[in-house]
Amino acid sequence: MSVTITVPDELVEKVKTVVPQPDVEKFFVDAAQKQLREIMMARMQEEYRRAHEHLPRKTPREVYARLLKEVIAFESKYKMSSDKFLPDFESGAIDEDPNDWMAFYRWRGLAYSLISMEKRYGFRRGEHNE
Amino acid sequence: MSEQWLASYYWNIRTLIAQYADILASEDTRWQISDEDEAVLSEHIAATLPFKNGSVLYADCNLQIETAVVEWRYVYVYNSAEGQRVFQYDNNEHHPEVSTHPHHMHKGPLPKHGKSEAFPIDLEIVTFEGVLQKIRHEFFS
Repeated sequence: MSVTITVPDELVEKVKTVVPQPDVEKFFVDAAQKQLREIMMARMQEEYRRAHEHLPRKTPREVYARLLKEVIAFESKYKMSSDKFLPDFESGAIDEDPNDWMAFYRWRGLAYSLISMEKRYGFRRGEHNE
Repeated sequence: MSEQWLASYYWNIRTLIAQYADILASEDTRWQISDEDEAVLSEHIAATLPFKNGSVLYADCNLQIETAVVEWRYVYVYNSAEGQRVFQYDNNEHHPEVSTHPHHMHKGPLPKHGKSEAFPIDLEIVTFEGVLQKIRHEFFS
């Protein structure tokens, strides 16, 4: 589906007075791309909502439970608590797993998310089935 | 308000990905990206984005709201079709010697022994958008 973006002439003239000529085109291309993305974004959100309106939204507790399950899987695999892993990995005391380079980054992302959700929603590990 | 900001950030990334449909391989079985509820509620986006030339971008970022949404912890690893690392951006604090600490990048394949050498980042700010733009510019232009 094509999208037409209009730029008022007076805006073009105004920009030309303050921006060097070679940068004018780039300015308008950037502005058009930004506007195009906003239009696309609104359409995609609308389409997503329409396609998913019959499905229940995930609750914070469901998302927390899934994160916890994944974090526990990492803790079990590497025999280390996330409380120890996070500072050790951040400081370089432990390096990436050479057999699975993304594993520790993934663990880090999940562990921080878990902490964030515990702060926001007051969840605690013990309240969830581990 | 915070959920609206996070949702907006998430959808901005999803739109960006849609705009990159000409180089991304969304039908690839490895394709994965957090859904909106997970991203907004956990303030975290994880993605595996295969490209049409067989290369793959692994992305993982934790979001935080300051004056805007920022990726306060991130890693982006871009691998070639052969599975060799091409570059990596992350902000683990394990390279204080780098001038852009904690933000740094690694170039080339993973080392067989020892640590991977770190370099200052070559982007003003490392974001999902900036990394995708770099890939298009350097490998698909």
